[in-house]
Amino acid sequence: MSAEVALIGFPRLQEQIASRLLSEHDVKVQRVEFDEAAARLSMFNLALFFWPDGGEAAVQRLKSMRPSPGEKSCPILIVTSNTGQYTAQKAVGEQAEDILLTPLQPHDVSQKLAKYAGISKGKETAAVDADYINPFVTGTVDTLKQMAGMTCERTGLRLSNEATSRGFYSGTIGLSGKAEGFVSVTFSKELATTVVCKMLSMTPEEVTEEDIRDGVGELMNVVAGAAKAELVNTAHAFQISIPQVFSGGPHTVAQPRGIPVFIIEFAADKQPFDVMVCLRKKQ
Amino acid sequence: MTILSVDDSTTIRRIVKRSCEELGHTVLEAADGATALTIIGEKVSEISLVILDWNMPGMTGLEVLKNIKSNPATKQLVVMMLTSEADMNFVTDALKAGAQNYLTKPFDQKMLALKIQESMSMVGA
Repeated sequence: MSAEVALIGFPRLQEQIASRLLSEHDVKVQRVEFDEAAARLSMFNLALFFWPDGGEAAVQRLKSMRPSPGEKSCPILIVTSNTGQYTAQKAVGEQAEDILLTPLQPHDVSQKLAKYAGISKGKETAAVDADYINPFVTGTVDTLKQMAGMTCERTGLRLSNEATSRGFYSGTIGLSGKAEGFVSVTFSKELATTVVCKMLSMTPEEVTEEDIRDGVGELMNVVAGAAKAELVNTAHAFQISIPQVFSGGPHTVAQPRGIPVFIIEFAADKQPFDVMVCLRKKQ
Repeated sequence: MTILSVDDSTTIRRIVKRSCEELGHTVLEAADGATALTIIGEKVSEISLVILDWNMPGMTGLEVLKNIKSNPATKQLVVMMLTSEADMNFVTDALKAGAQNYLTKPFDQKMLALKIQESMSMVGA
């Protein structure tokens, strides 16, 4: 009989990522809302509790889920980000057993399913492999810091089957080699102008449309180059092409051709922007 | 002294130009390898340093570098590769082909200025 795993309080796209990773194991996954979690927890073999920021509300929700004495207990793993892990750590040992960091990594998920619920991998699939995401995250953070003197942080991760940009300017680079696909950075008009002005030490009145397009393309080139260096000796090694820049309202930056697109969400100067990564090991 | 900045990105050429000018140097610019080789052919006696991007349309930076270093009239030029190709294999290839220095992107202004000064100290060495 399959083990049952509860996903508590997961946003829809995080749920999608977790479900795909869990589908590699012999488990049944059920979405559970916060307010019904306490009543239903004893039905599950394991619960993953989504903890985006580790605020006080999350602590109270977690406390309310613990069973009364004598009731069956279900191990709880907190799913959180690098930022949230520091507050989440305080709950480990009392309200929860352990932490899983986002972006979820297949080997972490497998290891903790085995440790806390005795669940082993049921079948080998090439579902979602997120190992290659982090070099793009660090590449983006480093590039903005060094080239524009701007601090940015990752605020989320989504999975999509489309590469449609919500921003105004997108710099896109094709990737080929052991792995193939594309990476794209997409900014609003305002943020693109701010970034390029800072790179060039110019004012918004001084920069032209062409300056912004070139700056966005070059930024993408540098992010891709930094990620390329990190992935050089892995199965996801790739070569980069010359960047292309698209502008205008919502636009499609590339055709994913059936490969899922990770959309890494960032904020710089409190303004959101995305990096889309679509990469697949060549068969 | 005169520095030739070769990069298809106007953003990078402007950043390089500003740093070079702040250090008191004159800057010539080329947006691709072919233009760079033409400028070098015409002004080789004026140019002390070439700051060369790797990933450009048409001729790559490595091809431009090999061309410079295989020509007796230009092989004395000091070349610094400025590249997003942080992979050590690329750096090794560039040094083997005769580049005297390299700087990987991303970089900040201080590091760029330092590398320019370092490269300029190799001129005539």
